[in-house]
Amino acid sequence: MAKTAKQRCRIAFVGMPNTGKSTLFGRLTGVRAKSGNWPGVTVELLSAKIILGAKTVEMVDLPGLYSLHGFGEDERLVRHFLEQESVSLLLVVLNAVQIERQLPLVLQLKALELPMLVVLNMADEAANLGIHFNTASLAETLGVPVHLVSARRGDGLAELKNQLANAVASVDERFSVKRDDLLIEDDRLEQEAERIVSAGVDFPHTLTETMTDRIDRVLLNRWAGLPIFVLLMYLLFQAVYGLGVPLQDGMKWQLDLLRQSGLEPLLVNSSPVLKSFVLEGLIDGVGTVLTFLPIILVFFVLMGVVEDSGYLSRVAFLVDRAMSKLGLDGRAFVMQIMGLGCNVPALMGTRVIRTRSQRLLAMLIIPFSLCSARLQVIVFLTAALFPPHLAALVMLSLYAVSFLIAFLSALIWKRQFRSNETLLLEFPPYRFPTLRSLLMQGWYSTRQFLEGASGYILGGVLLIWLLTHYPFDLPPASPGTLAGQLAQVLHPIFAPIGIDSILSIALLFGFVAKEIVLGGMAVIYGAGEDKLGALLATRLDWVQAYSFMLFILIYTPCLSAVATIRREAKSWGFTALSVVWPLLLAWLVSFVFYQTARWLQG
Amino acid sequence: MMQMRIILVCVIVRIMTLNQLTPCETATVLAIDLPFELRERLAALGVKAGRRLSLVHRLGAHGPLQVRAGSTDFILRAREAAGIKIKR
Ligand SMILES: Nc1nc2c(ncn2[C@@H]2O[C@H](COP(=O)(O)OP(=O)(O)OP(=O)(O)O)[C@@H](O)[C@H]2O)c(=O)[nH]1
Repeated sequence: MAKTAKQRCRIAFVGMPNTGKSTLFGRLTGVRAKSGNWPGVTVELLSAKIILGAKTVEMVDLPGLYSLHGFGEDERLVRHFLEQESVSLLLVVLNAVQIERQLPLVLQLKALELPMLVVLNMADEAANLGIHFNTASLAETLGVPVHLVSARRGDGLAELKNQLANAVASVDERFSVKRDDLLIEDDRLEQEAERIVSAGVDFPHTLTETMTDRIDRVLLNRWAGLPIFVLLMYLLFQAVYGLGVPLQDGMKWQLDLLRQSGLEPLLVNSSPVLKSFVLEGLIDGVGTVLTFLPIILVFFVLMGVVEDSGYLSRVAFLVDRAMSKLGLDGRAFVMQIMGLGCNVPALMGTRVIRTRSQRLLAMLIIPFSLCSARLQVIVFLTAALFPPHLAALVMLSLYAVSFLIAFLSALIWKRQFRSNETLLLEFPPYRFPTLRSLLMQGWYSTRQFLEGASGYILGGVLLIWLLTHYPFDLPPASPGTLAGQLAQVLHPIFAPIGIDSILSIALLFGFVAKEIVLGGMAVIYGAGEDKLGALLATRLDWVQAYSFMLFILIYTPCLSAVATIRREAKSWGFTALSVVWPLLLAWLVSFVFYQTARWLQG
Repeated sequence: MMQMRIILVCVIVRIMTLNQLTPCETATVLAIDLPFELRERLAALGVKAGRRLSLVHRLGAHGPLQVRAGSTDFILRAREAAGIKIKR
């Protein structure tokens, strides 16, 4: 341990995966990190400054680790942080229910001789199981303060905050740890941990059958497990539409109001270019995307509930055998499911896979997961071009294609990415959402969407507006405009798959963010959300529309996904593969579909 | 000779591997015959020589296993479970 000169006080959160570090971090700092009932959800360091007592303190949420000596990426990251960065205090978070096996980690950390405070989290679950703690005795035998809290319910947090304020009041320095100290092995820790636990914790003699066990008996049933999973996903989507569509209608109504009674009267006397820019670019383009915001939000909130429930590890269990035939394991399938919201966190979540080759294979197939951005385009086109009784079937078929293409890709590439990865995954107990967690999730997703995607969408849609309208004296999107000329160049590629070359402009921008595609289509056809559907129905027949949807579904991941792949894989070669392979596949699939359908039509 | 055979039989009967356990049965870990890294990870989950384990559930004869060690549940594949020697 080495002292460094006076610096701002820094508290680092450490603990095993899934002990509630991020939840506690959010509670204490008000900064919300993504949390999920799945190990390894925290994959980036999150830090926040808060005022504790009379001091500004920096708090850092480190990824979970099982042991200071582990070989995983997360373990390395934590070791690196403790060695290179300096901390004033370690806040060690434990799952109180599993104190027996988590205590050795505390003792390992204690050997570093840093100031430390132990938090026994999940007090609520421990109480339900009849486990009692004598925190005074634990603190005494451990030689560090011990606090029993429930981060999720907020119990014991005020005291914890006070204690933290006291602890840092006198601290003005930070310490860093020497590498050798991090790697000391000590066989005695084990016995010491047992001694401490037996003195300070009262376990009930027999653990009774919990609710989790009872639910698992049904959900993990060998025959019923998978059908139940499919049913649950189906219900999830039903709920998304059931809740999202009325909200969407409200949003449309407001936009119309804004357009008709606000902007149109305001713009009667302005130049045609400005008028077109505001009405066709901003309102038609960006507005069309915005009307999907409610559906996306409901979707994210419900996905959050699923992630938080602990059900996804069960899904990994159920599908593992099948996935092993594809050179992957159950976790890769779970990432596919997480990818239905957004591919980026799913790509980062592959860190729980330890072998590099299997991790790359998983990253190769995640972008085929039909994310919410592509879903917008697909929902819109389906509603516009298919009769209502077929719409659900079309959607379902596209989800099926999405998984099929992912599995097919894994099959094709599994020899190149061979590995002997093992599956070792913790099963957390089931946890049900609280109103607070739902609201937080909703708020967090809205902010993410508005901060992240909105810039891209605005920029992309306005650029498409410029391309389709310049030179301003020509009719929009006619062959003479910039977009029209570009479309001519792309024509030979897109004609064989039945995609109108002017629509290919929207696809080009979809590479940046898939959300732009829909807004781009609105601008290209010069029609807002209300008229776009009807207009599309006159321009495209169902074969063309389906081919277009297949292409959108499969072709290259969006820019943020590509950037994530590059960062996580640390290889340009693999990044190139993950762009080129889907592009190729998208074209081939659309080609085969389009030509076959046309040939069948005669 | 006879005696030795009896001892051998006893040993064969009593020592088995985790994947041979039937659901709801409990056993004690004798030794873990797996690569170092995996051993470390199992240790962090509470699986070490001398500890008690129980098999909660398994999916078919070759499917993954759900195992309980103390108050921790985890899953692993039959192949790895075959490296964990246990005694009922
Ligand atoms: N019952 C209960 N659940 C909790 C409590 N604190 C956190 N959780 C839940 O535990 C799960 C894991 O919480 P996270 O905050 O993501 O845990 P983490 O330690 O950051 O996990 P990693 O990201 O894997 O390192 C989530 O489902 C939380 O809702 C608690 O006090 N009681």
